[in-house]
Amino acid sequence: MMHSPATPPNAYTRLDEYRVTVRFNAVGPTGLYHMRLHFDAGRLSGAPHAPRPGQFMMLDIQDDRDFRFRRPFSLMSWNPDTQEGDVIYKIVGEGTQRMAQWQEGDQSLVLSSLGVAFDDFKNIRPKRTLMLAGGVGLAPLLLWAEAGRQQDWQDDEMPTLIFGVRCHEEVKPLMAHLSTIMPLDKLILCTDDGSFGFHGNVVQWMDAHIEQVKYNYENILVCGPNPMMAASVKKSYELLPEAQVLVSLENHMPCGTGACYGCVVGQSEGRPPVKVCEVGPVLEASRVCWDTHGPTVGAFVYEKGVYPHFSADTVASMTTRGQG
Amino acid sequence: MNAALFHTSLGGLALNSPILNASGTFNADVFSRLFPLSPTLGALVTKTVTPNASAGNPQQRTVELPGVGMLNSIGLQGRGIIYTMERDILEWANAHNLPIILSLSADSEESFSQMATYINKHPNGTHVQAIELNVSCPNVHAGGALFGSSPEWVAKAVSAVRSATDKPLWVKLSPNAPDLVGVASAAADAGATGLTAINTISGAHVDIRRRKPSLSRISGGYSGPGLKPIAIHHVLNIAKAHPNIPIIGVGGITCAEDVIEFMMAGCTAVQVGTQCFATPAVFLDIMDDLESWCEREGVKQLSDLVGCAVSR
Repeated sequence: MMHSPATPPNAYTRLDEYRVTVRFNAVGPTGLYHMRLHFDAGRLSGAPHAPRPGQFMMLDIQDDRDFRFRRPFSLMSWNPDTQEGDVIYKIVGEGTQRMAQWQEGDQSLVLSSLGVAFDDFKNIRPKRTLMLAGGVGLAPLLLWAEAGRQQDWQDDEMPTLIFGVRCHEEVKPLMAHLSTIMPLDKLILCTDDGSFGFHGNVVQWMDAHIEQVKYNYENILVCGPNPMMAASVKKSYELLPEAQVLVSLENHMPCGTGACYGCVVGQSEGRPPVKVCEVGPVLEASRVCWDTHGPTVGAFVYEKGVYPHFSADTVASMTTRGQG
Repeated sequence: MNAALFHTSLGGLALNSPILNASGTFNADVFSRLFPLSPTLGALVTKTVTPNASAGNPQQRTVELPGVGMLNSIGLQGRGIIYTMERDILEWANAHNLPIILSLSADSEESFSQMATYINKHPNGTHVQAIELNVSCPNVHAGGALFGSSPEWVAKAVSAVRSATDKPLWVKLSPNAPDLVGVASAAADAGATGLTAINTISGAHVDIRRRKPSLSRISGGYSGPGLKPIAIHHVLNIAKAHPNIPIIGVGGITCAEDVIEFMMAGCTAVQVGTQCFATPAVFLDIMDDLESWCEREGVKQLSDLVGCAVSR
């Protein structure tokens, strides 16, 4: 089984701190917020922001000096000409509660671009790619499709997007943007209440279209709530055992820079846990330990032999070899 | 940057700046992309290294405490001393030219001694400029009680390391000790050349939505702005009891004024930890603001401030 990419540091392109200014911050009928941010040039490099789809940023939500962690976000859209990027979010905690109060002209700081991108993984054929999005997990997937359009992907080369939301109202504010990126025959909406499109979630859609999934796709990209990702990954490997399934994870992420070890997930086959912010957020799904709730830290035990074992004998053998 | 303003000497170790990072809060690779580490930082303190690799604790490992800091129970995840000395240390040394302070933890004085001997004998040991003992860990000889809680146990660990290496040796003191000054005295008498004060203090948090503790291990270490008055309290007491041993102050530093406060309370150097998570460029801001403050106050050398608030 392939486990790429191997070297996260290469993925850090132009890591910098950017001052961002809110252009608008609108809320839809179901509580979905859509915010546009303008990025100043990087504070340290002076270079413009250049995010790659799949990478994330850490957004400062502190008021003055009251301590809060930054919050991780992926952009849903990025315009390199205007240096403006879009974020979608729902109020799920104190951070997003604060963001919801932001108005046009308000400013904050962003550390970006962090982590690995979708195109750090080789052999993704857009045409043969199924994107499974749940709620605000749409963002990094749509950015990837948008970046493809900016590289002149034609309609028949575009990936297919299965987008699961609670109800029709939720997706309405996003439809204008979605339809500029996705060909309509490659955009499938799933609503939990059946008010529009397919009645059910993305996994139920896959179950209802087994033959279509089996014969048309070899790459699957997943982003959404943890239980949705766990179920989607399971279903993807069930239908397409040979597929490359990539997930974009969003664990509790206090620092986003690899310092705090707060966001680790376990790896399959007894290999050591990895930091999502550093080795991810995009990871091959088979590499990660899962249960039905989402990714887990795994068995919490290093297999013997993964890293060298230290004991009194280690020191004794150094002396006899005359080192130092 | 005004080099003369920041230069300091810490128990024989010359530092370009008295501002260091706190162990476990800093990724040299990422931060060296953000700003020139040298001379912004005086030295790089590593995440604590244990004798053998450890996968750490299950999720959830961290809790944000809005306004006042965070709890963590990472569980000393790491790759062990051999991997660190063979591989990591060369990467750190290549990434910057800062002195490296290696943070060590072990569950017995024998194990502490073996690690120190190993570092001393290892060809890459020359990259280690000082050792900081993290004694906020269980002592197997004491039924798993906290090493750092007892002056006697800390003395044994420090003596064991002291007899294995001549490198500068700092001890990071735990505020969970009933008698922190007693532990500081024991460490100093056993040969420590610096005292780092303070480590995190035990804390816990209940998630009222899930009706259970937020951390998988129930309790963790509290750090952040709320820790500062506790750290200052201990620093003042240590400085009074031990005017001649350098103190490295740590606990809730977020800005230049906090650094000045720690120095006035008796610290030769300071470490910034939790704030790195919220404000990665905090070191740049602190250095700028320190320069402005010193210019305004007519301070020519930061080290002139050390201990001015300690009653003798």
